[in-house]
Amino acid sequence: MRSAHGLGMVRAIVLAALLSAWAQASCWAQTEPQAAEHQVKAAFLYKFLGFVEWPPQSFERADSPLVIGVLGADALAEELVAMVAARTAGGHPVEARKIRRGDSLAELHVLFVGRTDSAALPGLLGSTKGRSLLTVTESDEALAYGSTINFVVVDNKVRFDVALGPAEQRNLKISSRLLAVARKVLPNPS
Amino acid sequence: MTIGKTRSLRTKLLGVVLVTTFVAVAVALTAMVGYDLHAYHRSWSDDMSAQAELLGRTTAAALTFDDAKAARENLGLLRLRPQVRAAAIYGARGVLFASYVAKAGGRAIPTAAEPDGVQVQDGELTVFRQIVDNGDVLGTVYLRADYPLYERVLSYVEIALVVMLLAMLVAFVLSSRLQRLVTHPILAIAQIAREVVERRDYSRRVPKLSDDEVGTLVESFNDMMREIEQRTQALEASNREKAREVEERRGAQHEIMLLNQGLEQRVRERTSQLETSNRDLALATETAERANRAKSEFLSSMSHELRTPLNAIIGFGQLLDADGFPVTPEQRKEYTGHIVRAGNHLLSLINEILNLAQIESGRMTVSIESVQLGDLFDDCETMIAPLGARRGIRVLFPTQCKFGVKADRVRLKQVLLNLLSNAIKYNRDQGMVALACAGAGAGRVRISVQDTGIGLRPDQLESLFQPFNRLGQESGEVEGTGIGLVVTKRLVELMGGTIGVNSTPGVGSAFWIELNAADAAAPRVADIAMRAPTESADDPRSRSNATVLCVDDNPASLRLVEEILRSRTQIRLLSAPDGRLGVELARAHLPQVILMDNNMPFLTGREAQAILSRDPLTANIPVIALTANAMPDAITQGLAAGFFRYLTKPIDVGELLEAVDSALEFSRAHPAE
Repeated sequence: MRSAHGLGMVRAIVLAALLSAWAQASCWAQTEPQAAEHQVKAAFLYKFLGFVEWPPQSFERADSPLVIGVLGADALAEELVAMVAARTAGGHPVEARKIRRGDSLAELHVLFVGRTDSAALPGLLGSTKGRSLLTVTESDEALAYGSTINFVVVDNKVRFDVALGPAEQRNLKISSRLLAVARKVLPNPS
Repeated sequence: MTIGKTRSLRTKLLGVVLVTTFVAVAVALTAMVGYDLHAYHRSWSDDMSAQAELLGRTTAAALTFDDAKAARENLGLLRLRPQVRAAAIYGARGVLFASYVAKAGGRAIPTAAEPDGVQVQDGELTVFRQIVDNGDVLGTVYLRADYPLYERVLSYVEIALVVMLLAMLVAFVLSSRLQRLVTHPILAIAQIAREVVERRDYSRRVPKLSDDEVGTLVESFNDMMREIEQRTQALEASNREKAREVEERRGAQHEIMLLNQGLEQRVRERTSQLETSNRDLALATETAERANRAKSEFLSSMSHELRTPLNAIIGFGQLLDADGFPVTPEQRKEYTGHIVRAGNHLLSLINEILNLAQIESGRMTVSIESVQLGDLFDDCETMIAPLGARRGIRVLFPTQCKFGVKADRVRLKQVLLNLLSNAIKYNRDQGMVALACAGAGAGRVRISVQDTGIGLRPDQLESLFQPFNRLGQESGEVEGTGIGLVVTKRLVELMGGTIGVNSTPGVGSAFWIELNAADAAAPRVADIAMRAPTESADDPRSRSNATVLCVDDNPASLRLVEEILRSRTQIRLLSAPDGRLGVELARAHLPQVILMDNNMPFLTGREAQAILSRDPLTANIPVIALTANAMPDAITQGLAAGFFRYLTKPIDVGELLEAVDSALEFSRAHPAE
């Protein structure tokens, strides 16, 4: 009896180990493959459109496209273009485009500035001051320059911070739900 | 339903109320509970759905930006809702994203999301709800909450039981009180009806308590009772009547039965009487036929007997009357002698026939008295002796006979004369006849007449008492009617006697009669004896002239009377051919004597005599009847009517002369005024 009991215990432990291994495997299999950072950021970019409200005058017409410009992150840009094809946000068709330094920013509603072009950030922010342009960055000091949303990677996960001051200056309304999931929210200093 | 039939109305009503209440309350409670449970289910479902929606919205951003920590924090808010036992958020691909469990234990959270829906399982409500944002499915919310429907139902059942009990109690109490309104009058009717049935008292009435249908029922019941009462009385009356009728009918039937029995008895009696009378009738018919035959024989015999003397009368009359037939005086004498003898024979024949006819017709009456035989024998001797003397026959009468008999004197004398004359008639010359009387024992007296004739043969004895069996007829030497013995026999029998004969052929016969004896009383003088002094009256021829009127329609009779009275020279004879003329002549001439025939035209002799007797002039004239009506009745009646004498035709000359002389004597003694 004793030997049998011991044998049952061993068998149960082995079975549990096997089960947990299988469960781990299936879990990995089920979740989407560990996406690249630029892919996550592209998805986040697109998803921000649902939590931000632009003033109506920032669109020529009601069905004018909402344009996202990506500077200094081509992979991300390509990813985003593929993602937003035939997508809409707030009734506007979403359009993503890769831009170079010096390109007109006039038609843009969202501007992402990659880490590689973060040096140009203060100039870009300054040139677009007062315009309803949501700026998203991925550099540590970007918020200090006046960016609205800045990606950070915490625990190997893409998170973001939100600065309410720039948003207000640019006449953008950011949903509290977005704020609820932001890693940090910089309040409006004024 | 047997229960329903036997329970009382009260119980039924109560049962109906309770059942109704039960059903109503049960239905209401069921409906309420059902509705409540349904509403509870929906509201709870809606609530949880809304909660899931809210949770979805709340966690949408966390899900969007893959912030499981934020999602867990959101789920953690569910602590405020203790009913929620567990919750979870799944990603867009159904992978578990965040979860919350209020209490350890209980079921595990599904590892994968399921389609939208609300499920109830094992007392728990499970809700899956997709999180949709901007047309994109972000994920799924899972909520698991208490779902205490079972407890709720249990508590509802408890409440329902209590409510139902209360309702039933109230209904019971109320209906117990209120049902009296309905049942009391009906039970009253039922009670009365039961009493009526038990006691047969149809005068009971139910008091009317209300004006509703029960009131109408009470009225109807009372009306019905009234009707039944009347009908019952009528029925009882008619029953009594019928019983009485039945009794009467029974009595009547009994009477009818008695009557029937009586009737049957009478019918039997009558039938037997009828049979008897039929037998009698047959006998009578036979007797009548025999009598008829006898009568026919008798008539033919009589015709013969009548022709025999007529032969002598007419024959000798023709000889005397014939012109060319010389008759010497001696011959005339002989002829007339034959005529007179034959006439007398004819007369006696007729008399005897009349006698017989009278006897046979039952008109002969006898007056029974005590008759002393001695006196009677004396009379007979006087009359018979001359007859015997003619043929030299001695007739011996008993010298001493003290016997008396019960008989009709006249008829007994007739019987004796007949027997004596027969004894002489059938005797031999110089013979002897002996009359004897002797007691025959047992109060009877026998009178016998013995002759010395030729006697009778036994075969002659048999027909001796039959009509026209005249003995010696063959020889023709003895004249006789042949009726005498028949009449004699009948007369003897009429007087209660018997007749018989003992005969020895060649020696003689002894005829005897037996009669009832009578006391030997003082001898009576016979009526017939009165004739003797009349015959010995003084000579009428010495008398002076007298007128005699003879009334007769027959000229021959008138002529005969005239010839007879011619011998009386002092008599002047008047004659009349009918009664009327006779009466006139009598009144005109007032004759001393009238001779009156009876059967005449215009007036009969009887009527004429009556007229004359009523007339004072002629009342005293003696009228002598001279008639051919020789019936004894007629004679008696004639004498009673006042006729002086009653003479019958043919006329006996001596008798007529004697009568006329007597009448003349009377007339002289009582001269007419």
